[in-house]
Amino acid sequence: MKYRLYQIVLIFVFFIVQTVFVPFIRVSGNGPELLLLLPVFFGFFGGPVNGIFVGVLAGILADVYGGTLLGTSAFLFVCFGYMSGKLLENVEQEEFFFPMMLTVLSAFLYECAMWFVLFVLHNRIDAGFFFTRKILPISLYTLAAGIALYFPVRCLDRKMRAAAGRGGKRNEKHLS
Amino acid sequence: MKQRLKAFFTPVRIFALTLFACIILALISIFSDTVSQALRTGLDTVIVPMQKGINSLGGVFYDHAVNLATREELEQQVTDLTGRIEDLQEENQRLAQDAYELSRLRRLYALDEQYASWPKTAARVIGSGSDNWDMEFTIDKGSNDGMRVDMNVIAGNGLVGIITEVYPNRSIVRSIIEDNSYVSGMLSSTGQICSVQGDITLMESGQIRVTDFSADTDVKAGDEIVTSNISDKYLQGILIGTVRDISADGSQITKSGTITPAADFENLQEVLVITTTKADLTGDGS
Repeated sequence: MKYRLYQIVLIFVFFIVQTVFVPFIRVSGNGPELLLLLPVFFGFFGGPVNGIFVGVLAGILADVYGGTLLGTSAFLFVCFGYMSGKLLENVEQEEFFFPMMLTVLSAFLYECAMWFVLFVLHNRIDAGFFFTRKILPISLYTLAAGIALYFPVRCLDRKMRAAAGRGGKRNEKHLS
Repeated sequence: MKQRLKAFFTPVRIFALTLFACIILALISIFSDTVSQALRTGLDTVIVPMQKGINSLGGVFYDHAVNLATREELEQQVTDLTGRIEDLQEENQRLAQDAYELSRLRRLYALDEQYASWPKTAARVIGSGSDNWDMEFTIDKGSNDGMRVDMNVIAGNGLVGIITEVYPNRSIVRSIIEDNSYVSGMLSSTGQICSVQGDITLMESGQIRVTDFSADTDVKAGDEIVTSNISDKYLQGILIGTVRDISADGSQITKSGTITPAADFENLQEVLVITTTKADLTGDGS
């Protein structure tokens, strides 16, 4: 319970940073998607169920304050959390490369989905512009943010896990 | 029972159920706003105070940074501005005479009310859309401060956007450079009507698209575009920007081009909300 509360607080902190600080570090209108990092990270740290939990909350928050239909980001974030939990199930917890691969893949899929929902459905494809000016830069920027935030978040997560008396992901797997 | 419940909730089933719940949520919010409205109002009580606090903290640092601007820059500005004051004083005298004449003529035409300067209230920008795909932003005044949907928002002397959603303590403003924004504009000199549309491919360069000038319109770079008299959402005569380039379309029936907006969207911190809506003036709507 205490651990879940910590996750909720972390989601809020990431959200506030996303809305207040990210606008200042945007490069030609593109900024990192910080909220997307959370389901990917927590899926890796704590298994698929953890990823789903964080994904649905972060996604609803992103939807409520973003411009898209309620449920779109939640749907995608849940997928990323589950994907991260499942694909990285047998990856060492000390690993750095695989979660980063999954971060950039998730960001890429997320931006593609946004492009699809907001533009392709309205018959404005313009793939060249969107890939080179929106989707790829945002994915790479998100990856950069992920690299910067991965170790702080992991360190904090281990502390909180120890404080709440939770084991690693293997423990979680037995629970669920 | 507890054991069986645990056995049922495997990760795959939880995953499937959550996805299903997301789809249901999306379907509900297509047909009604109640869920998202309730969620937003609830979350606002937590988030708006936090955003405001962090913003004022940021403001302190920003002001400090501005104070450190170099002395030479400021001196250069002083000389520039002194020159401009002289120009403006001269212009002002001329305009004062015009204004006097104008008010006399307006009285004749009984147009006072429509052209009177609108009541405005200042608001602070406390957040921008949390994603990369739109240019919506949040201001710190909501229905408790008398904000209503469709109120026009300006900054400096240019149009910024329009309020699209109102919550108790904050409102969402859709800016005119956003992709799905549409404003009916006109050439301030001749009153020729045109459409002003945001475009994501131009957002980066800070431009907006202007279309639908009829081909015989005499329009050139540097001309001012203001909101038109036929717009049903925007008050008449608010400056949108100046024409940057214009060319005839392939059909030779219309002309289109780009506008540089008068408002500075890069550094939007404080905006003015015009508390009169077009619906108030025309008398339909509450």
